[in-house]
Amino acid sequence: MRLWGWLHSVVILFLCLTISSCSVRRVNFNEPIAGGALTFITTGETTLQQIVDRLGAPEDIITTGDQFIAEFKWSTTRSSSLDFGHVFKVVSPVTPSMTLSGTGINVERFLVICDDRLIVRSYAFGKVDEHAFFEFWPF
Amino acid sequence: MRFPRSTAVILAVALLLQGCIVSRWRVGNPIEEESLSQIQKGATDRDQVVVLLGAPDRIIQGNDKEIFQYYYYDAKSPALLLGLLNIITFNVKSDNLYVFLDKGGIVRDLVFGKRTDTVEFTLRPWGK
Repeated sequence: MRLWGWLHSVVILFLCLTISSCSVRRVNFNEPIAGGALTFITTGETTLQQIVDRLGAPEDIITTGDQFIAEFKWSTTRSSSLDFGHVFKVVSPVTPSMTLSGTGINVERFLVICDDRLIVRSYAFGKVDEHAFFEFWPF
Repeated sequence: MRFPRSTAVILAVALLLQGCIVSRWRVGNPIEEESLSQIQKGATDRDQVVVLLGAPDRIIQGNDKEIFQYYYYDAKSPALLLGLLNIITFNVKSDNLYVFLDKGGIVRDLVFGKRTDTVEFTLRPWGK
């Protein structure tokens, strides 16, 4: 019975040490733009400024021929790590680093093509990334 | 000996705030809306734009036009380093201004959007 108690304590201590350097990080860049928020856009009528008033400004504008392409960008990054080196804190004066970590970045885009007078001619979403999740096992 | 209540509260707050980090990052200069209101389409020229807003962060060329881009990024980053679990969030938003100049260097259009007034200290690594 006493042995079981000791074992229990050792397991809990080991688990605490194992997750003692568990980190989760998230980076949000701008608010996501949802398809439902674009119902106000009428091609040939809506101006780029009207879109910007509702969605914020594009991160980039490029010129092509006699058109402008406004690129709205937002992203979510999730990163997680687990440092097993902390387990050695009990027996070692130095703490080696034995880290498993994973990082995923979702970059999403919404493109608006405007004519020379900045009137919207067409718009489209980029393909959605699905990398941003917490992952401790990199293999 | 009784433990004073105020000491207990201070101790509890100190323990709760231990490992709490709040930081702020900014890139570029905030775009002043007062300066923007002085820019008149069809009248203000390139030099006046530079006097009002400073040198652009980027110049885009094409379609016989020049576009001056000004940007400003604001980030708020709360973090909780609990020892067993460390949670760090970094929330970034941007303001962008595009000034469209024609061949003669006269302002034809202005596109300005502000998001940085809504950036928050939100510690929420999970969820959407």
